[in-house]
Amino acid sequence: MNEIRQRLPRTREKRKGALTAFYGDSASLADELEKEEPRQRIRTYSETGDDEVIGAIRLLGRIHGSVTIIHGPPGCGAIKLEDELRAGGSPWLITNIEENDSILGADDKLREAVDRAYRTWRPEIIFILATSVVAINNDDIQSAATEKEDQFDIPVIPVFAAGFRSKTAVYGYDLVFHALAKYVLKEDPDALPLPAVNVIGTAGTRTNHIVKDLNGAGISYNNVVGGLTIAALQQSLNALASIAIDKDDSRYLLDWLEEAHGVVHLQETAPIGLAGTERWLLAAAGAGGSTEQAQAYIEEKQAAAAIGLKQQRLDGVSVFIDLPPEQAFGIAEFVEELGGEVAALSLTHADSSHVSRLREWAGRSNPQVLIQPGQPFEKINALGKLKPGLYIGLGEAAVWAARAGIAAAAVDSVDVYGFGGVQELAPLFAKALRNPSLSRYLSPGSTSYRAGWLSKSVNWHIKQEVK
Amino acid sequence: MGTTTAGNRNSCMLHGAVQTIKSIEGAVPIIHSTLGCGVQQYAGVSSLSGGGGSGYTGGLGLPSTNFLERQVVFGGSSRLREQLKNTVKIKEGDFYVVLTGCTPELVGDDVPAMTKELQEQQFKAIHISTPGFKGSVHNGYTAAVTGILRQFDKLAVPAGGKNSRLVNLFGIIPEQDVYWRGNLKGLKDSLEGIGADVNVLFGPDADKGEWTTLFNAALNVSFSSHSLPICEWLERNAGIPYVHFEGYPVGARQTGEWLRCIGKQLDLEQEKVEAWIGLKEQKERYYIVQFLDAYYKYGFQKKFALVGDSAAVLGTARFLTDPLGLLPSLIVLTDDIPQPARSAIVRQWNERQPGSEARIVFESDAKAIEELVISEDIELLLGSSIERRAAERKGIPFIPVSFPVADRIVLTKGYAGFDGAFTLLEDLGSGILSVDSAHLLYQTGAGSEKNEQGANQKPALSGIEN
Repeated sequence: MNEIRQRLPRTREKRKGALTAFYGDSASLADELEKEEPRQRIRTYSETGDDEVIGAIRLLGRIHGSVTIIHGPPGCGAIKLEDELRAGGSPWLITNIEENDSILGADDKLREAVDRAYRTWRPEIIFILATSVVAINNDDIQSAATEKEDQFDIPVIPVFAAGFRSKTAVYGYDLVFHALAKYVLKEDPDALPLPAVNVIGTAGTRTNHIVKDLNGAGISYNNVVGGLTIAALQQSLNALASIAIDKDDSRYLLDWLEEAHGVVHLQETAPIGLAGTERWLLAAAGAGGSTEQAQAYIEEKQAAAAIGLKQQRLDGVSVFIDLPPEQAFGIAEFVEELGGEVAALSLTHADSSHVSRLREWAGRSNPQVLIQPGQPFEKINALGKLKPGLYIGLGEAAVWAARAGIAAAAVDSVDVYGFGGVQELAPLFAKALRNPSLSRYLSPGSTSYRAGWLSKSVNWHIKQEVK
Repeated sequence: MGTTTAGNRNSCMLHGAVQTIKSIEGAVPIIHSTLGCGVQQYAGVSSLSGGGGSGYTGGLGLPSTNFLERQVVFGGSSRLREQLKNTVKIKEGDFYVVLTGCTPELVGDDVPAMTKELQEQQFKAIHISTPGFKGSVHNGYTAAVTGILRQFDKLAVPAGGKNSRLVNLFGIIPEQDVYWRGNLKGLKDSLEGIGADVNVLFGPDADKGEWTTLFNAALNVSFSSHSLPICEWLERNAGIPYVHFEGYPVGARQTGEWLRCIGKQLDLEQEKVEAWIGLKEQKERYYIVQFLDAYYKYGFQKKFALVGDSAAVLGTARFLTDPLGLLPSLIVLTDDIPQPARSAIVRQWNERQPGSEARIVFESDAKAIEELVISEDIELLLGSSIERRAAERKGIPFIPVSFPVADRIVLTKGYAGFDGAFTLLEDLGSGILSVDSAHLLYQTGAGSEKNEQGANQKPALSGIEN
């Protein structure tokens, strides 16, 4: 991975041909993504969405023993306050760049912030997260980081986010993993091989259920999920293999471990639903345990789940699934296990790594695929045309589906992974269908979108980018 | 603003403007900035303001140009033109407000020209410069309101003539004041009782057309130093006088004083004013008498510290002190207040609470505030969710009164005016009782987690979850 020498990793658009706007069926998207350089799409009208700064902030918040210094104006740290209060994120400072700093630079302020972070929390590692103002002014973060690293003898790591380089929020994860790989994680020639498989997740990964499954299946694993520790990340270089809970989010780390350290990435899809969890556990057991023991555990869990699921069927219900790609594909498969029909997949982005999954779906019901990170205006339009019986997504977008009069289930509140996830997801969907009164109540006049827009095609404002 | 802050609770100028504009019925904010600026406002401000939601045009539905690298290099004016042209076709609204973030301001986009193009197409549209590096969320409120006033001719024709009873209220910042809707309603109800007409301008209690009558008002009322520039502008340009108060009134005594002042300014019938105040004083007396038993039985007369925006906490602190008899020990004001206003706040506090031992500190850094609170000898803490941890460490009751409030849903609740005091009594009493209940659980052994030495491992509040 030559780009580890670079200051920045390439964007998902350049590395994987990621698209953030598309409307068509699964087969046509797979065709498009298989091209050497898929044609980028842009929107001529757009709404807000997660960017790389937000992605990076969320992942940095999960790194134990760290302090994040957000080097930017006060608003760039707003979501970190939410992360701290709602998700117990790591401590942080913000340099509150103001107009003078944006002209003259704020290196001194940054140095003082590092001093304060060290004095206050005695962290294991300090991250300096750049933001748009710093990126435009080209503030010399690197010198400040190097100087302070020498002074305090702990890693002081710059993360060069800008907020405008990529249209995907997962690029924020790439930036953090790139910084860790470049500056922190080093091969130790004396380290013993770790007889375990790396289980890798990122910012929003809940792990209670999957950890139970890993233990139940007797799999030895190195936990690089949820609350990340530098020690576990360092150990991951010596593991037998890596398997991701969401391989899309942790793509950069997985690729780097494989290419630079020979830690094979077990390319398995997310452990969601009965078949998805089975495949994932068997793949992990193949590298870090006993397949027989895992198989016995899986059979026991599947038998127990089958009884409960009989009461939670989705037979004949058409479902609109609106999630990041790995979760969307996993939940779509589970919806089919429950007897539902996948009407459409709405993804935050898609890239060349999703082609095989899209081909698989093209061979099944070939559902419509919308790529729309946020963008409720397109969502409401599509929902009005497809008229699904159930919407499955995250809370922030489910509110718009409910306003479109569609029964909605938001998966943020549950741990979707493993056999425990099956037991949480099925009732969640069933409840949304059992009493859709709220979406019925909301449907008339709950949005500010004009009728003229809703009568247009969903992709009216998506254009191919002119090079 | 300007110095490095731990746990920053004062977001940026763009966010302040976004939340101000989206709280006006029929207004559509259009962000000209990077992709994440709108989400940062939604998740980092709205959702922490008592679970504030997307509403009609907020959340993920905020129109945004989503500035990319190519716009940084070549300029984003044409992208803005395209966005504006399409926004009016997609989003219903009475008027559109273009708000610029840091990136286009550094690049130097010609936003006025793009907005003018929309105006020439007969759309009501204005632009306001709100880069995040130019100020805090409070400055964003000031910029948004003055921006509308300066460009009012592009949005509406002022309706009717002067209304000698009409009052505009300024200084309660939507979402930065977690209880903004309830507070505006409480102040409106209190004012209407003396026969005044009221423009609250934001939220569900603003009547349709309030903004068009704004220039007809006989008086502006300012509750914070952040609303003073608005009132000064209106005095200079529309000849509307103003009265300024440090913080909104809470309870009968403060609200009575406030109404007498306004009644005098509006030349309202004094007897009617006094009759209304008298009626409300009786009602407050009734509720305080109902509250008394719990007050004495559970020891409500506590030494307290209070943390939050000046507009939101000063009236609360005064009400807790007098008539409730609690003992103020530390008041931390977290908004960015100009030096002269700071001196005025301290002077007024000392004049109104002679003999008070309370220290007033101006500080927004969460770590510094935590240290102040931890070292203070107090039995009750009122503040934001950031301060909850300090209360838990001290094992004292905590009442959320200021931004951010991450663990409550707030819709109609407010502390301002006559009836707001009753809500404060309920929250105060419930907050104290919940900790006492937790102690009781420990004393009886129910739900406690004890180590081998029999000591409780968790602070008092943690017992509640059991």
